[in-house]
Amino acid sequence: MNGDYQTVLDTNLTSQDHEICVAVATPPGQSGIAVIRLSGKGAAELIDPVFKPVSKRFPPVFSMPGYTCAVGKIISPVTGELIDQVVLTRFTAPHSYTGEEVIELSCHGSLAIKQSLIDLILSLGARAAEPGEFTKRAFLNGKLDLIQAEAVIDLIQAETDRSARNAAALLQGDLSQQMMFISDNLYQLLASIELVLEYPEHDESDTVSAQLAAGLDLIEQKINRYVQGFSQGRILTEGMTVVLAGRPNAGKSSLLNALANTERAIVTDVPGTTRDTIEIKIDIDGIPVHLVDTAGVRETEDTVEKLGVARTRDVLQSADLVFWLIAPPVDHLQEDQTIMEQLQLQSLVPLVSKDDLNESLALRQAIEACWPDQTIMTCSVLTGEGLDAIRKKVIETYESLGAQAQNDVLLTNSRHKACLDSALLSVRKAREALHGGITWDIIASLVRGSLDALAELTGDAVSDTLVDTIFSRFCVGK
Amino acid sequence: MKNVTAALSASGAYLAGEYDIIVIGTGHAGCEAALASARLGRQTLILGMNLDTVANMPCNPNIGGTAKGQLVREIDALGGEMGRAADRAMIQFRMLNASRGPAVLSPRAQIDRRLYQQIMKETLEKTERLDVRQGEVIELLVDADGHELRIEGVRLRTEAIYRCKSVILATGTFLESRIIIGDCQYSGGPDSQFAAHGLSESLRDLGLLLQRFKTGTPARINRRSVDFTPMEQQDGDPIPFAFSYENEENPPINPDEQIPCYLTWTTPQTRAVIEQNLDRSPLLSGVIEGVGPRYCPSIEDKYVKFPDKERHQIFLEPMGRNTEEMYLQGLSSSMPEDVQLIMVRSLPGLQSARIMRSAYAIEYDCLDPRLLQMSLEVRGITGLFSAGQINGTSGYEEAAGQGLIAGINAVRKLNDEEPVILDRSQAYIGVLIDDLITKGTTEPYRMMTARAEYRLVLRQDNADARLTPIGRSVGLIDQARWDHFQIKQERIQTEIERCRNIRIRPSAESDAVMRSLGTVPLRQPASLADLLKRPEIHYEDLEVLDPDRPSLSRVEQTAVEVSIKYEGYIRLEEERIGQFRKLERKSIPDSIDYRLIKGLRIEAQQKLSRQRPISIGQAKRISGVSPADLAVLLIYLQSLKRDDEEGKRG
Ligand SMILES: Nc1nc2c(ncn2[C@@H]2O[C@H](COP(=O)(O)OP(=O)(O)OP(=O)(O)O)[C@@H](O)[C@H]2O)c(=O)[nH]1
Ligand SMILES: [Mg+2]
Repeated sequence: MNGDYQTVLDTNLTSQDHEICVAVATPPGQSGIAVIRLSGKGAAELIDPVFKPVSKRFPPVFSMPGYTCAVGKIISPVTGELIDQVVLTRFTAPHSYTGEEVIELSCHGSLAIKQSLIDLILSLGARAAEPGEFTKRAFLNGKLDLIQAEAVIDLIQAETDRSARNAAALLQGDLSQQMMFISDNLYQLLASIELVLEYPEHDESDTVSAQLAAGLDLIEQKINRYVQGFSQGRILTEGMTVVLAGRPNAGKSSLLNALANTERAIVTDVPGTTRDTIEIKIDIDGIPVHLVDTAGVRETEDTVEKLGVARTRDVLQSADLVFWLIAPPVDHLQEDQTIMEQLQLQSLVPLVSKDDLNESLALRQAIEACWPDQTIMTCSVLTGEGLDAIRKKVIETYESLGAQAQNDVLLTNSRHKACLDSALLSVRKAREALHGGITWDIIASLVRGSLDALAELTGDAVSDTLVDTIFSRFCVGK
Repeated sequence: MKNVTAALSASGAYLAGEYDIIVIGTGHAGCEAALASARLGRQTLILGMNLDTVANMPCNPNIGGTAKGQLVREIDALGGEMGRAADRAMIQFRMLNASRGPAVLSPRAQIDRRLYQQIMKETLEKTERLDVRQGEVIELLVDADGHELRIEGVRLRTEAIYRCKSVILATGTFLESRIIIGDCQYSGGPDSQFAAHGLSESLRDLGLLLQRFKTGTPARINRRSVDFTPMEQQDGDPIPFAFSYENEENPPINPDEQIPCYLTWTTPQTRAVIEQNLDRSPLLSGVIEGVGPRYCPSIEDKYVKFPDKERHQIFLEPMGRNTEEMYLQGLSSSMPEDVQLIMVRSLPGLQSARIMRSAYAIEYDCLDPRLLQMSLEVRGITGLFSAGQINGTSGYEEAAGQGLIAGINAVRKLNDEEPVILDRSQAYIGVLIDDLITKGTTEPYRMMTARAEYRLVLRQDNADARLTPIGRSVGLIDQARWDHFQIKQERIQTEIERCRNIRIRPSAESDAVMRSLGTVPLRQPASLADLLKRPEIHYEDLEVLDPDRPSLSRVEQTAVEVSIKYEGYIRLEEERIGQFRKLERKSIPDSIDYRLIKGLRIEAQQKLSRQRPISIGQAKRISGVSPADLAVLLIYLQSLKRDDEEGKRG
């Protein structure tokens, strides 16, 4: 339960970490303005020789107070050429993002300018920052708590709106707050138990016993909600895997191209064109989706064994959603049905493709007969019909995974998930113990175990807080 | 600051003696410290201001209770004295929390406090290598040559100078103490003894930081003025247990000669008296500056802080077998005497109570325990140890536990041996000392089971299994006791094994037994151990189905039952302990210079420099040290190790 803090930081710090490091702090690619950040003691002295303020009023960089700016030119000391005109902002330790001395240059955003500036600064003796290093430094300098630091990394890597919004909420400390709230409930409960145990002569066990049963139920529900939300949260950071599968020639590659609006997958009328899986990242209403095209599957003697390439099977197993394409004519429906049953996938959706063809009506009717209680989805890449319904299905699936309350922050990090899983397990055991007539020392120990697990998230020390809770709520003493 | 030579040059000064170790104070900490020191072979002197008050109990006349009972068992398991003395002096025994589980099961006894003092004083007097002497120490004498200060001796008010190698401070609540009863305030110690003057200044002179704490005690009344009819009588257990493992088979107390306690409640009149006189309460008017304990609030505090609570429990406890005095637990107060009398008489059964001693609050100087090392030696002053209330604790048991450890470690230091440091998973004593030294305390610190993270393992029934081997290796457990211990452990282990192997088949007889115990009948054969895991079944219940069982003592039976019944939960806790120990084992070299570690926040740097934790685990518990600071520290330690290895290679 006591986390090993070393594993939390996945990269090892070396003594170099206290050197000045530099990187472009704005997202990669072309932009109007970009920010180049230098962090570390002596950053001002480092940049000063190449920074020529436009006005004599400006002091040398190292004499500028924190939170002030200066406009000036960056001149190459070698060639004497102007590289760019920039706005320089100075931050002094610890009042900066990283907690160290920081210089930020707002420069023009062309790739060439950014590259020349970085090269120049490196030649002055700075080191290129590793990915996430500014955040790591901020964390190490106590500017961010762990959840927040992890959220920054998520934020940087966020590819869609929804991901970014959630990461921002994490950064605000929303998750920490919501976890504190659950911890607080647990503390109240534990304090009531401890009161009975610590002061047996003040017997209040009857009232406490009733509180306990109700309280544990409630907390279990709450934690459970967050744990469930993880499947959504994970999608926001890792993406949702949507697989297009079916018999050869069913139109999988065509559909992939249509949904992704590309010509990545080769389309022919020869069955078995696609030999290996093809994956494209797309954004469906803010949900990052990995759309996967697979090799066609046909029935053989031992269907599941010979499911085309083993790779297809793996992809199917780890998919969040599988569309099984069935193209007219109706002849092979029986075979499709057998394969689908043998696959036993949870989120497998039959999809009639090439709906523009005449035979498709017969196929639809046959399918309706097979799955009477399911609305049959159809699509055609020729007419574009059904594509929106497919997107809608993706969104629905995402939403059905998730948290019940709208304002819950989603867990995105598997470390957080592991902590909550363990907290949940302890609460469940405590409830069982209570109903099974197990003594209260054990129940207390389980509730404490749950708090320990949450403390890994919130960074709280259980014993102290507990004693404070006992005394603030109850009148006890000799 | 003086050394012995300088002190001897004062007029009237004389060299009164030379010892290895001098213990200042004859309270519960001092007694354990002195006994341990002498028993471990060191010439020892114990000094007290009044030898008629050796091992006095100026507050409640009981020993043990939740967490405190566990402490006494641990003290005994290590070879301390408190458990044995309490066994001989008890007049009532109760095992608290009998239905709440073994982790919180806690022995408590009412004590004849006079008898207890007498037993302890006699024990001191009869101990080899131990001198007992009345006298007030007013100054510590130190050698200030070199970097560190080193204890050389003590100076008494009479100008007697004793030379010694180590001093153990166990001065309790006496340093510059002040008694407060309403508007009446005067210099004085507990039970109308004198306060100790001068030593505080000497400590400050050595650069030590003192804080001022406050505590209080309720009035004592004459039993003959009490009407017990409206009260609830609380008798002792029909079959008492003993504190000491030496007495576990034969507790000295006669079950039929136990003296009861009584329970009564405060009334609306009590509230009215307090509310009308709040302006006369020095606690609330700000006259008292010391910080009082939250777990032992005065009655006026209780009404002010918990106005919703209608009434409060008050227990009447006998002060001894040969006295009519009774202690009013729960009615601690610093109100003026006239208010106290009306207050006491507002309780059912106490309408005509006669007070024998008034309640009072007491303020005193104590050390900030963060100045100490885990061995209880003061950082920066070689040979100075401290234990008990001077370290910011409250309670006889907490004091005794520290006294024992300080005594052991003072001797080990002189012998050039590693100190005994118990960790949080080994003993309540470990939790206590770790809390004090790592976190300090802002109120008198009382032990509570809730403070222990590994309560299921730190039980009163297994204190011997946890600590007697340590007591033995230290040298405080004699051969007879050691043999007894080993035989007991073996019997327990053998029986646990047997219970795992013996299977009970479903039968009419087993059905009847199960039914009578309120549990479901067997459907298939089950081992005795399986059956014991059912909450409804206890070891003795199975005797009918298990005629071949060995005859075990009551405590052995309990040990077997607990080990089996709670096996799974104990294993869970042991896993957590494993995790905990991983960080405890990541030790931090004493030579570390926190100023050299870049990336540590200033606050963390200061706290770590001051408290010098011995391990990452301990550093983690210091408030103001964040996970990020720990990460930085870990990485620094790793780089130290790497540099070291490279240095060796190069
Ligand atoms: N009429 C019609 N033809 C389609 C539609 N979708 C695909 N086709 C045709 O069907 C044939 C097979 O299409 P693909 O997309 O290559 O099929 P596939 O499932 O990827 O085939 P394999 O990779 O061989 O398994 C091509 O000739 C497509 O032009 C559709 O919606 N309507
Ligand atoms: Mg294809």
